[in-house]
Amino acid sequence: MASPSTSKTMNLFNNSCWDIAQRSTNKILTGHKGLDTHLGGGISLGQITELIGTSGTGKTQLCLQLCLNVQIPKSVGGLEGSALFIDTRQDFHPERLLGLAKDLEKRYKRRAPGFEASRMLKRVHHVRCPNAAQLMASVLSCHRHLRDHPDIKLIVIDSLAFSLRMLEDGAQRFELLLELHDSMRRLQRQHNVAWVVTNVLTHRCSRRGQKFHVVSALGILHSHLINERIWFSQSWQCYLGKSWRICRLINA
Amino acid sequence: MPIDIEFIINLKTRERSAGVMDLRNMISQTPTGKQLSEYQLNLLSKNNIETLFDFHETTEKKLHELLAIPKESVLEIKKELADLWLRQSQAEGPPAVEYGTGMEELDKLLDSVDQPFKSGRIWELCGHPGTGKTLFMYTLALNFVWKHSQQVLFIDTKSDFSCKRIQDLLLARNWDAATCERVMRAIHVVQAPTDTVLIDVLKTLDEQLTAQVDGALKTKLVVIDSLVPCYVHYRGDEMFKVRQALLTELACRIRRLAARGLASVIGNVSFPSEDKDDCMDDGEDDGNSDEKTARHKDGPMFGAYWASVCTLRMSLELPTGSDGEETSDRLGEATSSSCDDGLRLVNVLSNTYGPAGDSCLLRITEAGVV
Repeated sequence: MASPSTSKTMNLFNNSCWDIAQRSTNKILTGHKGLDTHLGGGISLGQITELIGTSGTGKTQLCLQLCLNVQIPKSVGGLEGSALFIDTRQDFHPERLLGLAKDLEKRYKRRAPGFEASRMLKRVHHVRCPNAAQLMASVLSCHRHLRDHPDIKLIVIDSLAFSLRMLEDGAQRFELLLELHDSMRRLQRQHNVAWVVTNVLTHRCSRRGQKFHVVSALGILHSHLINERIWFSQSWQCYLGKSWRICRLINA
Repeated sequence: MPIDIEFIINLKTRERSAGVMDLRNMISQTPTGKQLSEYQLNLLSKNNIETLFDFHETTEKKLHELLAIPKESVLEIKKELADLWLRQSQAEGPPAVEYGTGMEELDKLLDSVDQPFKSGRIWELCGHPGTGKTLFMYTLALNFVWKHSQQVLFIDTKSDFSCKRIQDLLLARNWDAATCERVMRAIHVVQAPTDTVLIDVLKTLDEQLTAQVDGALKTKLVVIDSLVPCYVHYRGDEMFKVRQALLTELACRIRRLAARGLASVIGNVSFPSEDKDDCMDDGEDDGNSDEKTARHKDGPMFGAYWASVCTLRMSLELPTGSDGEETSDRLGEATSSSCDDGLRLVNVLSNTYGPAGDSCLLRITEAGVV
């Protein structure tokens, strides 16, 4: 865990905000115009992005879309990477992915002729994790996948909340969640990958009144540790922000 | 006998930071102390009076007997030493500069609690996720580099630093391109994904200050956003002590920088203390029970020890008035377009220089927090 002391060589002042702005950024397009502008070109590598919303609002859809968008060839400004899809709910539909891939192929037909749907599907690796222990094991073995396939730029966990919330014991769940975060952060330090996780909503009774309000599952610490959170509503609108009360509507 | 308490406290802290002072040297610089002989000075060290502080603590009677000089002379020496020390410390230490946060309401509040934004202050900003802690820090950093031609070191632990957000803030402020470039060049970003790197960064900064590196000398504000990811994996009872030790080291580092005139702002997260159905209730939110029983419902992380490190703890909260009213369900229906009025309550949780418990309202705008 301990990194070697770098204090002798560390230069604190060669990386100003201006320098960062000049550098090109590695982002995965989401395909949603509003989101892309707000996120500055898509989902950043090296960050954990959470997609949250009730079921049927398009979380998995966006996950699949990202798995394909990460493969957009470099010649047209993409990352030309591949994706790892960690599936906890066992509802990964290759047909759905194929449909999206065909759309994407059509869109890029003129600019990148070699970008074909069948090849796209080959570059989405799929891991099934029916329970929390297997999820943990998959995340821990990600470093091996990343070593074997260095072009993996995106790892999706759909859904993070699902398997964790099957655990009855709150303390165990919390422990496992933090362990997952720890591994994800460690992998991020070594490899430049984007994590996309999905989460669900839950209701909580407010302290004073008897009113229920909507909060994200998995707790506050989790909310603090993720970098970006995208909310999906049933009316196909996206919101950006860490908590529901203060997130901003993103116009498509 | 006029023994200044502040003097003693200052002395203690200085002693710790600057090491043992040369008492002999100091005494020989005072007009009355000059008259002491070598033998008398040796007597002092033989009796374990080796530092300025020891000398100050020793009673007049004892010194009078030890050195065989009149009590009046002892008092005289003590007084002169105190004066000398004060003069020296003022010459050594950088003068306290008031920076101001650039947020009018906040400056007013902070003036009223005797804690303006100055060099050498350590602030902590806590709050729930999404309340705008990071934006607050961005705004503070921007205001700082804009007003003073000095630099900010932004320590980013979540690999979260977003130039886009800074650019958006600059855009909303309508500054000309040259100013924007100057401001952006003055904000230095360092990634510190683990606690060891974080400590290393602070250590390096300290070393570079000693080595008079140009960039380090210009840096006057250190922003850490946020502490939590570095320490979150030290959890449970076994790791508690490790975490405490690491936090202590961090505190020492930050205080050392503060003694050299750097201001710091540190981000932290707070938890509601009552939500038991959360998956949060395994003792992670430790300590600070007195704060919880007070009207603050939220306890920041890291417990009682860390609470004592910062000179000012602020929490950024949503104003309670609108709590739970409009939240019912926009998820099902597409209704109101803006759910957030942008108002935030800044609460002073603790303050080592004045009263705590005051609050003021800030507003989040396109141009940052005002």
